[in-house]
Amino acid sequence: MNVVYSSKGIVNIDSPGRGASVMARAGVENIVMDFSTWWDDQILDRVCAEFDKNGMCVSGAIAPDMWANEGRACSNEFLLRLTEKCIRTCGKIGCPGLIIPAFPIKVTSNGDSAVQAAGYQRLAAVARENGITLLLKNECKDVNGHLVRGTFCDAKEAAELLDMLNAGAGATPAVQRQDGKAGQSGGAKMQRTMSEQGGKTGQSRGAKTDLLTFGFCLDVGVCNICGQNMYEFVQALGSRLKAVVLRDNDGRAEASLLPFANAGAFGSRTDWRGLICGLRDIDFDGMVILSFSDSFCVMPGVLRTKYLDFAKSMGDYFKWQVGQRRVLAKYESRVLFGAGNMCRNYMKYYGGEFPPLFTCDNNKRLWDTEFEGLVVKNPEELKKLPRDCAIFICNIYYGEIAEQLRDMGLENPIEYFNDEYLPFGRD
Amino acid sequence: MLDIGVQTKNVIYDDCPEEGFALLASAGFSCADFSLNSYLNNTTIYNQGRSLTYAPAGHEHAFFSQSVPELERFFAPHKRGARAAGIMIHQMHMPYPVYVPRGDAKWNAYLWNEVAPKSLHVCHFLECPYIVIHGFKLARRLGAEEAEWERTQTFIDAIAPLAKELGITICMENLYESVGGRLVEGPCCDAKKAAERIDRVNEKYHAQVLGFCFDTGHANLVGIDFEKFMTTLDYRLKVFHVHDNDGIGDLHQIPFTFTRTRENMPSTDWEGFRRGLANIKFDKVLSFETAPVLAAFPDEMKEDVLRFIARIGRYLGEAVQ
Repeated sequence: MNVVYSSKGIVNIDSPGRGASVMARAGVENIVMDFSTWWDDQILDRVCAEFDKNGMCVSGAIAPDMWANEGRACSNEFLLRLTEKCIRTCGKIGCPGLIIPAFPIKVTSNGDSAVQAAGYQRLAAVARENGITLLLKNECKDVNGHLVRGTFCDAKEAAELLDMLNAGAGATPAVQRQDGKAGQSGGAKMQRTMSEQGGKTGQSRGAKTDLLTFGFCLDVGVCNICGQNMYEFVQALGSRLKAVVLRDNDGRAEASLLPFANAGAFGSRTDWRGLICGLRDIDFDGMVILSFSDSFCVMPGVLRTKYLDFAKSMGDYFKWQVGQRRVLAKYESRVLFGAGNMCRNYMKYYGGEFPPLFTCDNNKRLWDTEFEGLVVKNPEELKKLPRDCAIFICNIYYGEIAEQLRDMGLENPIEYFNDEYLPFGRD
Repeated sequence: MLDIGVQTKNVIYDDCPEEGFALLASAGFSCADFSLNSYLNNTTIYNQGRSLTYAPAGHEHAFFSQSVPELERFFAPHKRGARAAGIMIHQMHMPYPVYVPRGDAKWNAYLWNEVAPKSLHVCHFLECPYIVIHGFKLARRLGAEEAEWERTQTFIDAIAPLAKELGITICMENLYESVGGRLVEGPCCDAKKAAERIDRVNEKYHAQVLGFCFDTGHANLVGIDFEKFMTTLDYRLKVFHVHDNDGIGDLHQIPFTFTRTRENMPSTDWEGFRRGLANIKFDKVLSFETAPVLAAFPDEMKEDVLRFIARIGRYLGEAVQ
């Protein structure tokens, strides 16, 4: 999974270098560009050069949605040309994925399927030439100020359309650029797919699926406004899901807030568990786009740098949570560290599928006792493990325990298990 | 012209039901949605289920512990009152939920084995063809909507033979549930799935034992596209719960009440609703679930409010002609 950060509201046209360097300092490596912000070719080149200078890749881009931006209809032809230009620009800068507006549906009253298909196939041809995956995104519809389910808010329907479009795009999939010609401002870092794994190996399952011309981008903000069950939404899309726009709002109005902002007396009002568990269950390996321009803009200037660090941590957190099952499956054998509630939850939810050899704990009184069917051992016993056996820390003091293990000279992989978002079905 | 109905709650009272039915008739209604759920309300069901104390016969919560003949005797004046006023009891609401998650097993068994079948008997006694049920809200607990449906289906299977015998169609309703106090989609919010499931159940029983109740307020809370939803369900859509809200709370208010912009246009898609009615050529009853409106207005205005609701019903129904 590749965590990508939206540069909207952070990097501005006048002095892109400043925002880009702040993002880079926070540890951001991958960004998403919104072409409605930088449409002029010269500005685009300048911005891309700054990203490149700061060692950041443009991993995704958003095509302008003229309907939404202008509040009026524009012609199919105009939208098509605009989107084609965006695709070519993506090709030029080595950006592998472009989120496109549901353009033809908006200008044909009830979604004329023939017009729709023809429009998308036209874009598909350009996308193939440029090695770009086009991402359809769920969108709200405005009923006199009340945002309701609009285009692609039915995940099953969207999945069917994607299959049809990809079948129609022909047996020749989009060609991933591997020739090193990333465009004017692109370097080797630009040659990446939307999934981190795909980018690294070029041969992983993620990379293979990325070759499809069409994929889906799930906008969590839209799902939240429409009160949709995100677990079911994700399941219905399955491997077609290539990107997730991670943003929070109050469930009523459009906003791009950092996750967990929508809090109420009873906790989070956004269904993060549904999303995280859903992504885990489909083994999501695409791009997660953290979009938080509204949160960032209201931050006092002196706190913005720190806020970006926090946003970076948020992205890392989601990557960790979503990838938890994948990490568990990565190892042939494993042991746990900790004999408390987190260990209990590990055994309840994952113990059957990924059984540990034993657990250990710093509490001497627990040594040689049994907990949740596991023998609790002295951490010193870890030294006897084969090198490839992973140690999963089941305790919130991850840093301290990891340090203890390193101080013990252990070279085994150390991983952090977490029980904050446990799978559904066994509550 | 479509028949128009409304909830009996806050209109029909047990001590003199004929008065309430006469009021409905004079306000322009020809049908009623009998609020059977008032006799064992939602809060009581949850509280009872979680208090681990079973309500014995004779307890105030044990209305449905009465025998079917006793219940029929209790509702005989209601039946006579409706008949005298020319009001057809077109639909009724079964007490809900019929299963309290993690609730007392005895209480859940009581809901399932006593309340549900007796509700069907009352429905039959009142010559009411449709009874609305709530599906189980278990998707998050069980891990998947499909698993949730399986539980609801088990319940439907438990009561469908009796429904068939009594000539009643059970209607499942689109619902919401809460995430951190915010209302999000619950059971039956996927029209395609609902349509497939209804067809499967009816095929199994060789009868129209299952249909759908489209609740406009619940749909509005979770941004469902009215027209698309109704059109997908088509003939399976048997009854309505028409009401309005602000898209945030389940307020059960009069349609066209809420706006969100300075232009003051309705923020609920009533035009989409009208198109939906026209698309499926709906020919049954447009019934309002607006009892809270009557609680909000002064009693002196009850008849005026009812007249207004009925008038809105006729307006919405005109879309079908």
